[in-house]
Amino acid sequence: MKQVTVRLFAVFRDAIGVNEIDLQTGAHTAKDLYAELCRDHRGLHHEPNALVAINETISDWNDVIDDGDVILLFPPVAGG
Amino acid sequence: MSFSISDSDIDRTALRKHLLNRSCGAFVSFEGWIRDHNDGREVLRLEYEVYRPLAVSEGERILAEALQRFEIADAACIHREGLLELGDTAVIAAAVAAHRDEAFKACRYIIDEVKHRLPIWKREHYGNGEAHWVNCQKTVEDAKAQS
Repeated sequence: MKQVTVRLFAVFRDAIGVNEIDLQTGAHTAKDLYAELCRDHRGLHHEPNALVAINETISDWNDVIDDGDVILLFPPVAGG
Repeated sequence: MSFSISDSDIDRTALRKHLLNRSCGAFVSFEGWIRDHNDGREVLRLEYEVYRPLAVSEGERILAEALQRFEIADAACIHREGLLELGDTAVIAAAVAAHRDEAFKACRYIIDEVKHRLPIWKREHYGNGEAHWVNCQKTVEDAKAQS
């Protein structure tokens, strides 16, 4: 198991009601972690255009997460 | 080259001055304004949430890409955060070049990439008192199902 911190923004934060979660996870990739969070938190949905950043770097959903990582879950962006 | 996030009105005169260049004959800019409707709904105001650390680094990357891809001398972009009212400028992107064609292309590239890549979210406030985050498919579907 890994200990990670997940930060949530905009609609994701509103769905769960907190902007940060510390959790123990067996998730291998960022995609696995997102799926786990959607399973465990009613109101958090899979958004096809969501983005992920690991330790302040925009990352791929298939990137592996490590113990101590900070994962930023970005809902579909809407700048401009 | 400069990218920034602003929590107050965008100073377009300062931006133009920043880009002024004697070797350039073309200045092209795009402004995104807050309009009073979206998807058939009356919009009263917009709220922008920005994750600044990555918005700024990714914004700077986009400007650097524009400088590499197009024959421009310089480029800049400013995006607002916070609560904006109708008619306010949400974003301004600009490029200067010797000739207009490259400046138009670069400006288009910058605003398109800014909209797709920057960690920025907008929440629309509607005439009926509701407010929804834009672009979140499932959330929008849920909202429609509940209405």
